[in-house]
Amino acid sequence: MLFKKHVKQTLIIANSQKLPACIPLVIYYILLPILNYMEYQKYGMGYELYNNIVTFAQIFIPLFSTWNGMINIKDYIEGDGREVLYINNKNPDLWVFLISAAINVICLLPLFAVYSILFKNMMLECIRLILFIIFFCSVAMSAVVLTNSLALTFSILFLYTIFSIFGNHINSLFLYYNTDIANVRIILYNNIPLMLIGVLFLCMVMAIRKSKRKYM
Amino acid sequence: MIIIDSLTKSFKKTKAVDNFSCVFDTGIYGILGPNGAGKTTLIRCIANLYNFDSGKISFGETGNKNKKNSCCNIGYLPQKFGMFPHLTVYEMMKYFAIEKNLSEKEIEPVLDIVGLSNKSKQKISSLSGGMVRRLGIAQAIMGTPDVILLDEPTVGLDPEERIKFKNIISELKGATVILSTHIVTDVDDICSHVFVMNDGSLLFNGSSEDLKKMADKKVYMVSENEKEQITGTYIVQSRIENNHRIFLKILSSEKQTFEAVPPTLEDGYICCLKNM
Repeated sequence: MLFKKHVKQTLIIANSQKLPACIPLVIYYILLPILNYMEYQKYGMGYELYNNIVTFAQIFIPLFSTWNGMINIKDYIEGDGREVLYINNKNPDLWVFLISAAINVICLLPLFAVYSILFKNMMLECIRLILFIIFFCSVAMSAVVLTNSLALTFSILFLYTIFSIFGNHINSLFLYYNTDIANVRIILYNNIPLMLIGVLFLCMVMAIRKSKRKYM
Repeated sequence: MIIIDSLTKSFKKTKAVDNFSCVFDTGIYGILGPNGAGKTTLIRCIANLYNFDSGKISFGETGNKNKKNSCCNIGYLPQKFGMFPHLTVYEMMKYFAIEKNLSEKEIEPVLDIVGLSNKSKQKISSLSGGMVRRLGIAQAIMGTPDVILLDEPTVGLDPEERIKFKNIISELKGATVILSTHIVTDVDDICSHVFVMNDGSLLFNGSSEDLKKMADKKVYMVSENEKEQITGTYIVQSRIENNHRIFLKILSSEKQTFEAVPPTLEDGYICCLKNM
């Protein structure tokens, strides 16, 4: 019942966003396929294309998976009189953010269904990417609560993405970017712990918020 | 009914609400106080938006402390109401109807009450400030809540919108309406009971007539030429020009040689604040 209520509210907000809400879809279904197609033209079907798909998916998808959630919670964070949204509700911003992120994951599935037709291992890559998305969303929501600013939060995520890509050679659990072919071992020992760190961090931040005050 | 018992809420070292106790029954209550008096903090504590340091807020006749109950049947109009500018009036109301577990049928009647039914397809960003305020009232009163909290509801409204607002509020029956403001005339027109707050503390609790009485025989109308004859300390409440003569309306706790005039609620409020 509570979940249904939050879904309905999220859909009301999401439906009114119009153009900005389409940015992730443009990236997933126009930009990424173009980049992949260019690689396909160069090298044809092979490891290079697989690597190209994984590379660009890891660069763009986790970062932009937070986009819709962030624009949907804008008024919960920065809107005048936003406290009225928190009266009957515990963490409405978190619900809206998570539901938006879940919708975003659903939107990604057709893309990965196509990729899976091309490469068998893409289902594992998709699982890995979903773990990254959960991590990014947890960090994004935590940063929103801590900074009270969406612009700052997106900047933090952007810098983290850049740092992860260029710090690829540093073997750190905290840097998500990894273009090695996905396998169960990497997922279990690298990606799931990273996701859990993100979720744990979010839980801590939400507990701190609850103890201080009940709205942003 | 809301029973507040020794409520204290601090922000770092500042006590925004200090040992506040009072009872709100059915009716319209005004909380008067200057900016920073603690009115908004008190309202947010009642709305369960703030954790408070100590004290108790109980809802219902039994006085049972029930936090879950407290947050389910409250209509709240915040000081600024301007989120979701990209939604239409109807979408915004639908959002709040879902929030309060109400059906969509409840939306039209409240939009009618606040005079916005013909604007239901308009985006909130295209509404005037007064209309947005009325929309705020609409969401607050939708579902006939037992408690309606209105935080500085008339700030920024033009006189016509203020009259509309007062009419809407005065027609609310059967609810506990708490209105915080620093505009004394709002309270004078619609509230049966007044609280005066300053620095987080309750200074006065009574009817508006009782508050007026605090300034009884303390208000004088003095011609500016006779200013030198005023004894002791005094506060100039207003300057009035009449037939090319300037008169000062003063408040003084010391007996003056001039004839005292009947006090207004504002005079009583100032006397209360200045401890005269």
